[in-house]
Amino acid sequence: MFEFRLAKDEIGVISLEKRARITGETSSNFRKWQDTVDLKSCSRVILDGTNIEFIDSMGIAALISIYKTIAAEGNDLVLVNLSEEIKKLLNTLRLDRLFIVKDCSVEEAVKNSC
Amino acid sequence: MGEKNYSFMIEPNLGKIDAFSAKVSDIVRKNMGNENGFRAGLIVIEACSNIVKHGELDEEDRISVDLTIGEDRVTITIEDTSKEFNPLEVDEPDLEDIELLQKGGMGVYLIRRFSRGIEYSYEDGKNILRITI
Repeated sequence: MFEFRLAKDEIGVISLEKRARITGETSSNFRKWQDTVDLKSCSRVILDGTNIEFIDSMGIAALISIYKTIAAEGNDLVLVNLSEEIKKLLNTLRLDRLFIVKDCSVEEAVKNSC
Repeated sequence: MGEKNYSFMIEPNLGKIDAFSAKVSDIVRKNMGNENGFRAGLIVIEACSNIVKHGELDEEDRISVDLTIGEDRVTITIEDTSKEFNPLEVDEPDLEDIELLQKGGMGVYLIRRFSRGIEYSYEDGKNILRITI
């Protein structure tokens, strides 16, 4: 369900293979999945939210878990292509101070041009 | 447009609640737009998940959900027979404490922030939560 690739050899890009809700069991799977990829060695990690249909508090907890892994190395978690509703949800929880939320494509975020 | 009323009985497990939340989102979205659809789905999943996680319900128990879509508002009434729990008495989470947020504690806060009004009562052995968005 979750995909990981490296861009420019050092920027991690996480995406979802298909449209999905990050809730309940999927959130647990997301947290387990992150242990199978090497996020710590990435200079930055970009999460492509294109296929995130919906997220609840358990899904947000999974995002916080990923953030903590990346932030422990002093690096950023960048979220792109989120729906307006999900952006509002993150703002409500003031998580936009942890995550960098950008309105641009993955390619632009990789180039750091947005 | 008159009111539209829907009634559901939900099995107390997280997978069923997720599917139900998606269904409620779709119904509300078609009538009240994307933002309200998202809000309704979020409120349902957070409220019902709390009941499953903390309510000690048996498999055969059901969570009753009534959905009323009016001209300019949606009312969601959730009833369950688990132990008495008033979400309005839950302290707001410390949003600076990400360890706490990661463990949970966001659900009731999100229900409050994404609703216009919440009423709670405990009657005849039932928790009754009425949320307006």
